[in-house]
Amino acid sequence: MKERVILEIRNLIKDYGARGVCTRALRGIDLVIAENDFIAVMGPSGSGKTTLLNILSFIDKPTQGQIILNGRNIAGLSGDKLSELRRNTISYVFQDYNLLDTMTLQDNIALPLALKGVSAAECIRRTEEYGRLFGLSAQLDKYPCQLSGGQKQKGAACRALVTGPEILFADEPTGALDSKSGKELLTCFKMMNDRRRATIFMVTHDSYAASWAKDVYFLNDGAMKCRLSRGSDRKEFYDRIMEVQTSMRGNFI
Amino acid sequence: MNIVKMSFWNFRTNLRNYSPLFLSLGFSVLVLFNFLTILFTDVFSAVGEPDTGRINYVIEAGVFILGCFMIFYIGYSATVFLAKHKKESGVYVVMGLSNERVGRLYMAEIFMTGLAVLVSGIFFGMLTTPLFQMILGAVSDIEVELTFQFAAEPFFITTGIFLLLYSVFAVRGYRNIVRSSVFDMIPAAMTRDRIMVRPKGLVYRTVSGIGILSAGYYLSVKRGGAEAAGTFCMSAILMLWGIYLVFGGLIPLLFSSLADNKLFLYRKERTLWINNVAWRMKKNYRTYATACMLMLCAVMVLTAGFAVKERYKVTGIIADCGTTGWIKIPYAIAIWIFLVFAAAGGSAILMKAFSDALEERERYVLLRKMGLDSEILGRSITRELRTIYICPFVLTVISSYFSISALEKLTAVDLRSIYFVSLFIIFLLFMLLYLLSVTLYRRNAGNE
Repeated sequence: MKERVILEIRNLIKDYGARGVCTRALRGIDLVIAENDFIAVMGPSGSGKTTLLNILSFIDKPTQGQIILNGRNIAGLSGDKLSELRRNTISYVFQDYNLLDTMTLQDNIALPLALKGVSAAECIRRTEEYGRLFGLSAQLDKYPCQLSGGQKQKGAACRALVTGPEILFADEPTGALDSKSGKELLTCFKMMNDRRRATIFMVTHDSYAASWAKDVYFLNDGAMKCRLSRGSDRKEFYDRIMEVQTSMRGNFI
Repeated sequence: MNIVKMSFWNFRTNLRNYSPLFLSLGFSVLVLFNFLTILFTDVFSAVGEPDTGRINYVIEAGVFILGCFMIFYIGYSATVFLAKHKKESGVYVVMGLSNERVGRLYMAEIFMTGLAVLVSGIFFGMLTTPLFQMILGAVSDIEVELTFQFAAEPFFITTGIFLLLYSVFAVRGYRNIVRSSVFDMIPAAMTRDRIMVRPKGLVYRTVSGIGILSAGYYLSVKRGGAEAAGTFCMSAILMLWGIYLVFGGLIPLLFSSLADNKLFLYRKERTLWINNVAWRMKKNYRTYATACMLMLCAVMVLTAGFAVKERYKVTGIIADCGTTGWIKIPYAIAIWIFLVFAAAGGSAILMKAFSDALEERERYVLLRKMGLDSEILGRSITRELRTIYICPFVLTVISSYFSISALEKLTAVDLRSIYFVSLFIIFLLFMLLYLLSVTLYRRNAGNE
């Protein structure tokens, strides 16, 4: 069965700078994100990964092209309308955790729910449920400064997923983590993708992290170069990713 | 870059970052200079002896109060300055500078700032001397000879008092830096992390704060007797001490408890601002307590000056002694001290708002990325800041009510009118500070 398309971009172009000194960061990108996808985008430094992520997550605006969310072109919407879409449709996991340090982990996870007007009792129930799913039950009443990097990032993922967003965007989510914590986080992503049908779009320079996705896109000089899809074996998929990465010879950081 | 250049660079940044603090310190220098100018020139010579002597006596008392205030306020400023400097010192020491060199850098910076405050305070003091004397004369109904009279003594005494106090605190800061290990300095930058966890002694400060403040209130309403003046002083001391402990204990505990009650907390943006208030109350309690104590002192000084004026009017001592309006001088002096205290308290809060707004810029960038729009962030900011200003104001209102009751008993003068006037002025000041803080925060949150 073909999955429902959530977000589609057509001929996306992004230029930076003023007249005369203009840099083209994205050169006509086409991409479709359907429900239950787990997509990773890889590319060398300066290839346009973060620009693409920022545009897809409505943080930045394209110079040209269409962004179609649930069948509606949103490229020309105002800042507040985009904020509303960001609040109600998508979620974001940053590389450096970005938990609010004035709140406990549970309050951090509950914040997007409370802002949506979900009742306090339901907020408590859902934060405890996600805390259990991500193995963070014992850390819920702790402040970010009392947590390890891995716990903070899993907490950030909880906060991003607790509202049941249509797409979760992750910007180098394992970038600041050690290998063990990184693997734990990716296991959580996979579990949410498999069991709860979460749709995940991840930007990474790490081939190992990318091998957990279902599809990997390679971006270079602002254009999509190729796409790989995973079979049943993750290790074999990892080897294929490494081959493409080597052939591109870019600085994948 | 050599040490002079570096300290000059830092000095310029400090002037900008700490402008409210330096402005109020400069204002206190200005008032001190003007008090001393009256003492050493014959501005009030028209009233003749013995009234000139009495006026001088009152002004000397004003100089004494200002001097005490300057000990406290220069000490407070130096502590704020040192805490900020220690964060940078850690980085300098890691970069290879010796503690002594970093200490000298601190001394150079603090002296440049002190000199700037002193010179501008005296300069504007000279410019405003006729205005100052005119206002003093108008309030006290005394004929004033308005001339640009200057004596050498006010310069020397103002400079002497200021530099002496400043040197004591500068040397104390220097010794602190020289004796600190780099491990002491780096955690100074990380106090934010420690603040998050419920601080030790919160319950102790809550209980003792409520007890001491209640004792202060009780003493102020207790029937006055032979020792009424002593009881009044004791109640004032207990109130000031109690206020400090209430800000360090009860208020943070109250907001932390609200943040712990999730059924109450998880209501729209309340999740955000209650947590922020709880954090801010734990982090800034010294500043809010200082501001509240200064406001209470301001109200007490003003009402005391007013009480003296009214008391003599009521008892008809003017007529008996055949004197003119000298007894209104304490009131005129009290107005100036009231302004110095209120400006100092207000600038302490405003400066905290400045530094907090800068510190929290990243947090608002994150919240916007999460999709919080201007309306939600604006609501959260106004509620948070409103609460921050309401707490010291309410405590000032309650505590000054008790202190004025005590003063009423002591002087048998009705002080309600001046009580309301002083609170109204403080209310206006707080409103102004609140609106300024909201603008600062909204700008940082990207709402403007």
